[in-house]
Amino acid sequence: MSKITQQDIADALGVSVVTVSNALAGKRGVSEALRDDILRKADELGFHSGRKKPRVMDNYTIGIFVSGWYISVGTSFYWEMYQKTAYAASRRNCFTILEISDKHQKEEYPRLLKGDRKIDGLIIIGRIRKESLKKIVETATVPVVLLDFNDPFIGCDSVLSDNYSGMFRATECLVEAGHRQIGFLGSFKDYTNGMERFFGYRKCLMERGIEYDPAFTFSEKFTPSGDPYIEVSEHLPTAIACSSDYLSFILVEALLKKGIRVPEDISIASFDHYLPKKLYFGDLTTYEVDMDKMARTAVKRLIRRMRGDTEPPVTQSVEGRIVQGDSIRRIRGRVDRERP
Amino acid sequence: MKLADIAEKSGVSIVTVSNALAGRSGVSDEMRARIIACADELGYRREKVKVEVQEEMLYIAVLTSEEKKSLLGNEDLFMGCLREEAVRCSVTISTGFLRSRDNGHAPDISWLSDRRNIVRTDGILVLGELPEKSLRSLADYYKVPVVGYGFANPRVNLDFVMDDGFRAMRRVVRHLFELGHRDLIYVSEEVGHDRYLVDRLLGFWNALYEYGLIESVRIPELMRNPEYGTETLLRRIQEGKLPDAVVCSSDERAASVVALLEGNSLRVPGDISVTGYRAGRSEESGEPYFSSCLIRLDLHAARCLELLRRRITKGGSPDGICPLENEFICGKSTGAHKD
Repeated sequence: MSKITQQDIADALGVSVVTVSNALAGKRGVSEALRDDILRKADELGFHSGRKKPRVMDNYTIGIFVSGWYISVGTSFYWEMYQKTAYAASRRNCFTILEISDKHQKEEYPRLLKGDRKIDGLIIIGRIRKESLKKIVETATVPVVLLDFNDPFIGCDSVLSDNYSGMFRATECLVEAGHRQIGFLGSFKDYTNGMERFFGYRKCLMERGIEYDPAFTFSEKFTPSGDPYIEVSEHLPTAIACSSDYLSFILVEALLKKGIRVPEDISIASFDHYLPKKLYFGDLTTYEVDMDKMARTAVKRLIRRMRGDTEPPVTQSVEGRIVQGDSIRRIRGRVDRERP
Repeated sequence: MKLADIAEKSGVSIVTVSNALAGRSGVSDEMRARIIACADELGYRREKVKVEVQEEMLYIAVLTSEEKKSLLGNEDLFMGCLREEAVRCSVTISTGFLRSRDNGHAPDISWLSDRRNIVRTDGILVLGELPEKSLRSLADYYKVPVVGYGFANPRVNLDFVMDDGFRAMRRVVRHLFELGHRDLIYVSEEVGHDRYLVDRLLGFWNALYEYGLIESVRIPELMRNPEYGTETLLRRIQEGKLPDAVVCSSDERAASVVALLEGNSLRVPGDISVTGYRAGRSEESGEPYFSSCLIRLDLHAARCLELLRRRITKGGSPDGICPLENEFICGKSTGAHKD
């Protein structure tokens, strides 16, 4: 049986091939009634739309550089980020080469950029030392995109999770549940994601008219061997906004040692949706970072650069969503400022 | 002379010729130009050729909430930009006010279809704060895409477009940092609960940490809010410990700061730099007085319409909050730091 063409449909209905083409493509110029007729006839005759515009083949080779600190220590958040980036790249017909830096090396400079292995672009996942980043951006002959961090001094494309509004929304969950004494646990070393999340927490307090109490802000401490722990003070708020699931995990264990249970005695809202282990009470209510979208956005941005885009560097932040868990207890109380 | 002749001459199908001459999508610009040139040569009637691609006309209802003026007084300017942009991208705008009702029913917009020239409503743009219940019922009841501008409610699954005041401050601080300033003070209207003012204040503090102008405190219990406000500025002037620059939450505020400084015999930018924040419609000509963050309302308007068009024609789930970056305009109120 020879292939049915649009001309066949046109002849069958007594209209022009132009009309059939436009009808099938959903363009204007065809009445709804006629479009229906054409579609039905196409079905009836067994018409298959073989017309597919071939995508521009990119076939770029993308280098992915990750610091050894993230890959060997702590959670596998960065492994997953790498996975998703490689996947996003391959969806766009690009190849990826992974390089993990030696964490004991003072200077982190990708071998991918030196030598003869040619890459067309570079994605750096996770913050690296400022001096190393400066050198990379200044000497690289290919475009560079930063994933999950950025540097305000060095002009480079970056893709971030939305720390500010994400933590704001996580803290809102606590306020919605009636809490008015809300503390914050975060990492404050240098300038990291933790800082923006701290301000997201402050935004929620300010907009809701809740007074900020610096005594309720704390961060992790380290043992001489470098293990993190949390000192739980006597005077605790009723809820804590925590800047990462990792810290929440340590907090929950520290609280349990003092006989304080979540969520009965204290509620927690967290960030990341990336827990190393399951907790005794269930799951954390947490803000989930959309890693897929971050990876896709970074790859997309890099492809644009590799194609020759010369716009000034862009910082994109990617929205996530709140994942409801079991770590927040509703408390009864007068709501001071009604949020519409 | 038929389309078939043009098709043969330009080496494409009749369908492509038809679409090209009618201004429909699906034909590249070069191809369209080539086909039009061939058509001309063959003597095809020029009046029938639509050179510009016409997008389908969309009907958008722009509803302003009467509840609160949340665009900080820029509603008129924004509406002006929106109308201009609508003409450019085949959108017909109808406007109205929303009086939200607490009983949870959708705000009454039946009047929209009562007007004679309103064909239909493909999408809704909401300006200004709207209670959660009303927002939800608006979206559910009218079953068209809804985009909110100038506010955001993360618990309702819609697109919200807003100015990114938090990140904007980073540009300001960077500009001052590059001029050599290190000691910055923030002056604002009463922040209260206003989300725009909250974002700008916190964005400023965040930028101070980012650029190392405040040391990150390893023991957060020692973290205190940096002092800000007109009283702080006055005190510093009286103590003779002038800051390098004053960052203001708006141009109006910046103007009153300049007046205050000049009243104390201080020159701007000679002795102290001042920055502001304002909304405008496009790249400004000439050199403005204030170095400010500029909210490009024309770009915001374009973004709102583009987003609505995408949701209406292609669907897709809402992206949630979309903070839009603004620009930083250099003016005369900031200058290099003098030792």
